[in-house]
This record gives sequence, C-alpha cells and structure tokens, in this order.
Amino acid sequence: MADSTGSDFGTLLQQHRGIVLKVANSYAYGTEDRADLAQDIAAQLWRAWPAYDPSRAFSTWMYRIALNTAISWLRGEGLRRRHAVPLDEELHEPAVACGDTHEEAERLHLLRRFMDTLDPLNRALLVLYLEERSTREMAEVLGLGESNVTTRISRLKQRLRDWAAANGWC
Amino acid sequence: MELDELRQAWQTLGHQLERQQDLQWQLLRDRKLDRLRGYLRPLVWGQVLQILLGIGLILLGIACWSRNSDVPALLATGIGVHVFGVVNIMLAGITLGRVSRIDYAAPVVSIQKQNAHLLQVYLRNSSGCGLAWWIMWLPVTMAFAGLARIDLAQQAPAYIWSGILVSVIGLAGTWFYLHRSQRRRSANGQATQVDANAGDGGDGIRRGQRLLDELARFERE
Repeated sequence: MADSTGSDFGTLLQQHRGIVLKVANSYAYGTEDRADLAQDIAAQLWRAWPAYDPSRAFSTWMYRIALNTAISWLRGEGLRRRHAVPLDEELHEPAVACGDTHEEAERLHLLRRFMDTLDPLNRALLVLYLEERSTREMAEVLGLGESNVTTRISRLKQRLRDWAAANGWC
Repeated sequence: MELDELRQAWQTLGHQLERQQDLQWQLLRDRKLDRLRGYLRPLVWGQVLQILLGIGLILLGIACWSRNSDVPALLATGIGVHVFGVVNIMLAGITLGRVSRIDYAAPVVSIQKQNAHLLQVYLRNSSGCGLAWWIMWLPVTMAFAGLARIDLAQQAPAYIWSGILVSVIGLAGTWFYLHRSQRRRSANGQATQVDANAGDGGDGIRRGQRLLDELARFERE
C-alpha cells in the first residue's frame, strides 16, 4: 500500500506524464478529447494511488491504469461517435515541430493510421511494445500470459506488414 | 515496414506532446499573468496620484511654516502637513516598489507570496494615509488659511472644535464600518476568499491573488 503523500504522487505523475500524454493521444481524437482523457487518467491514478504497492514499478502500475481507463473511454466514445459528426482528425494532430523532418512527420502519420485500425487491446499492446516494455511487463499490464503476448506481437508485426503493403508504404 | 521502425516515430510523438503541453502551460501562464498586471495597473496609478498629492502637501506645508515661523500654531500645522506629505510619498513609494518587485518569471507559489506581501503593504498604506485624512483635513485647511497669515485656531476656534468633532465621529464611524464588514464577512465565511469585496481598495490585488490560486491549482493538476 502506498503510504506516501500527495506531493509524492504529483512528483511521480510529473516524471511519467509522457505515459499519460501518449496513451491519451493513442486513444482519443481532437485536442479537447485528448485533454479530457488525460484528465480522466490522472483522476483514476489519483483514486487508485492509496492501493499502489511501492515495491512494484510505478510505470507498470501507471500503464495498467492508464490503458484500462483509455480502453473504457474508447468504448464509451464509440457509442458517442455513432451519434456525432466525425471531425477531421488530421486537423487535431499534435503540431509538427520545426525540427521534425518530413520523414518523421510521415512516420507519425503512418503510426496514427495504423493505430486506428487496431482494436483497443491490440492498441494497448502496440503502445507497450513501442515503449520498449518487456514481455513480462506487458503481460502484467494487460493481464495476459507471456506466451499470449509473444504470439499477439508476432501477429501485430505481420498485420503491420500486410497493412503497409496494402497501402503502398513498404 | 517493420514495427521497430515505428519506435522512432513514437519517440518523436512523445517529445512533441511534451513540448506541446509545455507550450500550452506557458501560454496559459502568460495570459493569467498579463491579467494580473492589468489588475495591478489601477493600483499603480493610485500610488502615482498619492505621490503627487504628497508633493502638493509638502509644498503647502513648507509654504505654511516658512511664512508663519512666528506663529507657533501655524508653524506646527505647516510642519505636520509637511511630514504627512513625506509619509504619503514614502508609503506610495514602498507600495510601488512592491509592485515592481513582483517577478513574473518566478514560480507561481513565489508570485503568490509577493502578491500577498503587496496586499499587506497596500493595506497598511491605505489605512495609514486614508484614515489619517479624517484628522489631516483640519491641519490642511489651517495651512491654506496660514498662507494668508490667518490663524484659524485663534480667529475661528469654533471651526476648529467642530472640525475635531467631525474628525472623531468620522474616524469612529469608519472604524465601526470596517469592523462590522469584517465581522459580516467572517460570518459569511468570506474572510478567506481572496475575491471578497472588503471595501478597502485592495480588490485588484485580491483578484490577482485569485488568478494566481487558479494557476497554482492548474499547475498541481
């Protein structure tokens, strides 16, 4: 159980804020939705904080809560979207910074498009893979067996190859 | 296309998102601090006017005591008005110094403290110079009369005594009003609200304090 204070939580959250931002960006469209989701994730983290076991990695705990919140959010969002006019998501991509090359921008675009084709669980798997998490950690975060994670990653790799070939991005 | 090739893009995305968040925070901070500067502007003008008033009082005081060095009452009145002018300038200068010392580039908590300190200084200034006018209007009118070498204490004692009576009633009334409004605010639970209208002229600083509180809350979240 976490016996630390709120300020410890704030410091850890600040140190790992990239996780919240990237997960929110992977599951939500548009600046406002991303901000809402990031806030939901932060709120869930705060609620779950008293039950956090400090002997385990904070980032693993954070991924689990962030991804669960994002998956639930996406399911709710799916229902909302059926009754809403879709936005042009390209307008809401994070601004490409001056230092980013055309190739980087292209890859970012590709990454976003590929992510959109994935179901929430595979999207979570992709996020963890891109974050270079170990198979064991991915299994722990997603509540899957390690062999299941390995199999799913192989399928994900094949799926990317097929998708890239089909879209002329080889 | 391999999955590992997307890792670079993922890292770039992470950097972009953090940069974007930092930028948004900076924009929000700049906007709020600009508003804080705006709230403090009337206070600055008020202090400039107080300095001008102080200069006027010094000139009046000097003119009075230099022309009436042989009339003890007018000599004392002139010196009193002179000193009051100096006090007005000093307190306005201290308040302006506090305003100029606010470091808008500092962390929000630090700006909050500077603003709270400014409020304290301003309240001392306004109670010192503002409430004193209930008394000082009398020496000031005596000093004006003294310019024509008229000693009101000698020639119109009734005016002086009635003036003193008005001063005492005015001071007591103001004190009663401030005390009652303070008690009322405490009873309504507003005493700790920084935007509560205290009727002491420090509302601009309090509005600024509320902005800073919002900013600090946002920073924490």
